[in-house]
Amino acid sequence: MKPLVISPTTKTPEVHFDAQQGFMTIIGRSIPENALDFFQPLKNWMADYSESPSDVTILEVKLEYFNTSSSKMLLELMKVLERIHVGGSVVQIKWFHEEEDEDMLEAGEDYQAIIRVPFEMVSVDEMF
Amino acid sequence: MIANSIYDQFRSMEDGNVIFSFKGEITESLVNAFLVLVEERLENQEFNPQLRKKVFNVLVECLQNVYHHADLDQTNSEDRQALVMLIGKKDGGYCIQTGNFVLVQSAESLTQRIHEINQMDSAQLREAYRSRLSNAVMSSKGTAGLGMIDIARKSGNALHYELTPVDEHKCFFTLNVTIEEK
Repeated sequence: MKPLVISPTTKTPEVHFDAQQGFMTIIGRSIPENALDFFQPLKNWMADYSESPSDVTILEVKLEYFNTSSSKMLLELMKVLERIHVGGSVVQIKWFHEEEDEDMLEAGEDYQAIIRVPFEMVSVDEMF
Repeated sequence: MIANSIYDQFRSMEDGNVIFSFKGEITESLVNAFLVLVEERLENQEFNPQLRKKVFNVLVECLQNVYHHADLDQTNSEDRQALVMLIGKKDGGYCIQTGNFVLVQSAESLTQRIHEINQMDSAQLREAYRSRLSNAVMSSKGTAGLGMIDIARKSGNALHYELTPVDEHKCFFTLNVTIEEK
């Protein structure tokens, strides 16, 4: 399966999904008017990946901003990971936030409350 | 008339610490341009990074809210030039005001929704957000009804609005969001 690599723009994040490594990262900001357009290829890739995932899957989310349109799509990606986890593979979501950024910490906790996948909150001094 | 009052307008914007204002038709490329411009201005004058992020985040939701819900008759020129927006500094914080036309029939559910949101404390807002995030179905426009809750949650303040009747079909809706420095 080919990796999914998307370069960042002023409104969408950098994406690097690697099936061989079972390692996925979303970095930057996600504030498109309609997140469906941007996230559809990510969802498709993730759905394909879920059919034969690697033994260990890690998703790292390092976002400085995301809008509510993206929040729903992020949840959908995580739901695919939840299915992989329920299927018996090791899955982990690492949610990065700046130490002082309570909004981002709370956002991570919201997902943690909804998604049944082990979550790690990673606090950093500065994201970028 | 415009020529006589333009200095007054400048004065009131200058004295009112307006950092950005706009009136006109809203398009996707304008939304993008505003965000770039306002972010640049915030970077130059707001040195509390968390406050800066909050203001930018709330602005994104406010603008995209108007953009998505500007569903009036697009052939009517007054409707098309529907957005008024103002961002100003206020007592160490910021206020974001938007104004746009809404249909009379959508005004009631909109204000009902704002009343519900304004009655919630921060824990209830959080719960409402989570519940809507996990249950709501996304529209084809990419909205999931989370915008107003998110604005209230991030701003930490009640959402102030005004509804001015225009004619039998539409009203003018003004939203006023305040974000204070913690």
